[in-house]
Amino acid sequence: MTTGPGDTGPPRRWSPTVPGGGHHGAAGGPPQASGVSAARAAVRSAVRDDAEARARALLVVRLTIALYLAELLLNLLRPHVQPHEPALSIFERTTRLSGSVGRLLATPRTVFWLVLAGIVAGVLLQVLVMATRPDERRARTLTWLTVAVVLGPFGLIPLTVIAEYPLQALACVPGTAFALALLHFGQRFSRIPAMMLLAAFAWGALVVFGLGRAASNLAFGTLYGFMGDGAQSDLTRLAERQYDALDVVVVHSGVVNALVVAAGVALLLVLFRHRVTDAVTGLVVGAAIGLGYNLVESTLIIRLFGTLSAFTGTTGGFEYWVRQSIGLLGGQVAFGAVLGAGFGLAAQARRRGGRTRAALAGLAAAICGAIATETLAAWLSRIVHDHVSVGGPLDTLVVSPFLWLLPQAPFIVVAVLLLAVGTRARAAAARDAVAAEAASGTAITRWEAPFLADPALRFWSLVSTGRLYGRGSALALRRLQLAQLDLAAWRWQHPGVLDGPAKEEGDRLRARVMLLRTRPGIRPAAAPRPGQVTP
Amino acid sequence: MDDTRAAEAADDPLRPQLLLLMAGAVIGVVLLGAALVIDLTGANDVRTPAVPTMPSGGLPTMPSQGVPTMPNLPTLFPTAPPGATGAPTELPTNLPTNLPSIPQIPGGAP
Repeated sequence: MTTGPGDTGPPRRWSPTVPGGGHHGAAGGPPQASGVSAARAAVRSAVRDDAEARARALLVVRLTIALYLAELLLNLLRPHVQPHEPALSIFERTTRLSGSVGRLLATPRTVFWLVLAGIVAGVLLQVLVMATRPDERRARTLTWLTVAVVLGPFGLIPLTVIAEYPLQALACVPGTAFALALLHFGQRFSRIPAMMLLAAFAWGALVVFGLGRAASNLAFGTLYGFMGDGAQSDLTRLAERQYDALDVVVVHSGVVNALVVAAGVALLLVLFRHRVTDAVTGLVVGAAIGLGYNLVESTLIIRLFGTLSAFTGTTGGFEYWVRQSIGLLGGQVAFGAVLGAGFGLAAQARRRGGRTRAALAGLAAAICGAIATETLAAWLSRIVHDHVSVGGPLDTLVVSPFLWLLPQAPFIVVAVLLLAVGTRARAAAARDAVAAEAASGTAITRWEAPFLADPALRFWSLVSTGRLYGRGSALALRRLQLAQLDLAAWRWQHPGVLDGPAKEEGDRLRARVMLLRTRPGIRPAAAPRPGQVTP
Repeated sequence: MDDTRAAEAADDPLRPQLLLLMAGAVIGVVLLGAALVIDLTGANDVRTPAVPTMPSGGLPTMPSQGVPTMPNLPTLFPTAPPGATGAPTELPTNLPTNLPSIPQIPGGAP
């Protein structure tokens, strides 16, 4: 029947499309290599490293740093409410706190110095690139090094949170892993590479959370300076101004977070090789970014509310229950999904107007939703808790979670509908692409076409093959089907007459399918035909 | 012209998704408006206790002149009650040592 060791290994669903890439390796069996070199090869095959991709990555980095520098400049220009205030509000030492809270409060200052050092290092590296004009490989290394030294410092804040509160972070891992698996396996017809999904998660956890907190920290000092100016003598007014500044910081955070999420979605769509770019692709990337952000935020809030429950009235356990169970796919995940869907749709649209509308609509929904839900959830809670006792089983299990989720519900519904409609559009496109490929070549036969276009039939064919011929044959059939789907996705993305690299890529995909079809373990009968009787 | 038509035709399947996104944006704007109204009307403000207003010029300073001084306190305290000549220096030493016993109570001691 079958099979060599290569047949039982995990199928390479997301092989690159570059010449000499993983398609050949998947077809002929991956070469034996050490773990490090295999990982390096996997990264190299999944990530684009051409000059255009590097230029866009540097553009995103420059915009990100410009945002932080603008925050710094505004903070420097703020009026000073108290005498002897430092030039930057993050250097103000009101109380000396020890322990984890003290270390957390000190991180924005460290981030400031590290970002300055990173900017200097990044500029020097780019000057080096321009002055020496190194070869392609060295230029690539220097560019990615620039990205790392400039964006890396923002990761200090979330890494400090996780290092200080490891138990809370560990407690959040199962739910987060479940949601990531849901995002990965929930995609139909064409999945994004797992590495892309993990990169999106890391962007959310490290860059969005880190930069968002660093910017909000500066923004609070700036706003308090402008709003508290003139109210120094009135302590009541000063306190009210502080709360007003916090309200504006919520607006600021909503805008900054959404912009950094959008930058991440755009960057990942450009950098990673993936077969299909549409609303579902963007939705999955955006949701993964939100999930990364959610992990760090949950860790921090669970710990803080656990410590301050005597003052806030909310316990860490309640926060865990709301954020890591019923609300796991709400909040930043839902807003990231809607925003990502907008950007994915914009990348797919052919007309400029459609692209602009899709991107702006996604941004508007994410920004407005994030700001509004913060205020509305607190307001609803305040109204209802005048009539419902706080902290009882009814409040903990039903009332408070419901009030927290209610303002987010429309966005969760929109995200689910986008996923459903996008998946349906994918299915229709897949049927057309599979039929077109079946009509034009031999890589997909007309008997196989209905199975490839229908996930349920495809699954049934795998199960039947497994029962008839064993697990090895089922895996080999799955590998063949995935290669055929890759070919169909290529056909979908390139509907016209082709020449040049696109045509070469199509030829390579067809060759890969034919090679898989002729390998031991694949029998013509392994792909059941319509009407075939199976046990 | 043909390119425009081809682009329009290619974008047609995207219209339902674009409408969904627009609906999300509209919902977001409406909810944001509601949230801003709540914020601006102070319906969600934290109730802070009133704190007395501090004088505009800061705390009043002590006058440098005309401040009443404390009267001088006596440095010597009296050693005997008023009217007495002084506390006795000798106490009697021959006090009786035998005191009368308690008489017998009928029925025994309580």
